[in-house]
Amino acid sequence: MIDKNLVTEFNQGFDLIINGDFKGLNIKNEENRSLLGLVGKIRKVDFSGDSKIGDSLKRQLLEKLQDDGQLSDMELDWAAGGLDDLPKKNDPEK
Amino acid sequence: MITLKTKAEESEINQLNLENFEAFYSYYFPKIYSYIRFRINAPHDTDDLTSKVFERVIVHADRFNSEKGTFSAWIFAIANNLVIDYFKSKSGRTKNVSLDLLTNTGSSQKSPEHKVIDRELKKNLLAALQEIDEEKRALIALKFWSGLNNREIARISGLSESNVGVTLYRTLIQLKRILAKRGVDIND
Repeated sequence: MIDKNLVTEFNQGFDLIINGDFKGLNIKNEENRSLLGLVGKIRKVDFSGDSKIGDSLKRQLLEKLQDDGQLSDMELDWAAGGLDDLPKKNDPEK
Repeated sequence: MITLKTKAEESEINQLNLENFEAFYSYYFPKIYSYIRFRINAPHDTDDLTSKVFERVIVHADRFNSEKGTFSAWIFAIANNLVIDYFKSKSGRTKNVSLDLLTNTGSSQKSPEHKVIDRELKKNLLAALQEIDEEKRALIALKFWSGLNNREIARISGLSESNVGVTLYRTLIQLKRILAKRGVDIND
């Protein structure tokens, strides 16, 4: 049986770490402190450093923004490809 | 110029236009990339999906409606849909990738010692994530990188808010145990 108080404490701590509000952290349970220590460690790791496309994608997107309103039908189809195939639940484009 | 329909009180980061594009991109790129990286075991495909997310955001920027949710929820819902689509297209194919492909050194400004620690943690973490069910992985990826609260995550995932909280708790316990088995000391 899971202790609801522990779950609540953990989730409140998780939110504080995600929001960088470390002053608000007051975790009494030792297991939760350990778990939230893991959360803090993971947050510090730079995963996006693995990407090969950061700057090139930024240039492409800037060009698209500069050409706003002049996108061809082909570009629109390409960029929006597969929208109709996506699940309807939580579909933000509709 | 494309301007999103955001509330006046919302951060400028959530208005996509030429003036703030640098800030917008710097803020969201690492989050979207990391979110997708958490969910799929393929660095090259993570780049492709990240590109598609930003392309869709730009093309469909005028569809964002702040009355239906935050900008962050909107962009992560797009990312979530693309990952779901990705898994559908990959179903039946192998998802196994050599551990050597899970990480590379990246372009961090950290010291050599920190880079080694980061690299080891990243390698073990990405491998450990593969031992966790996709649904649970999706939840912790959203929690870590979207900045959304459990209620917003519940709306995207289709779970109840309390179920999100309990699943996150249990999944982090599971992740900690897997990492411990891999020899990662998270208490140091």
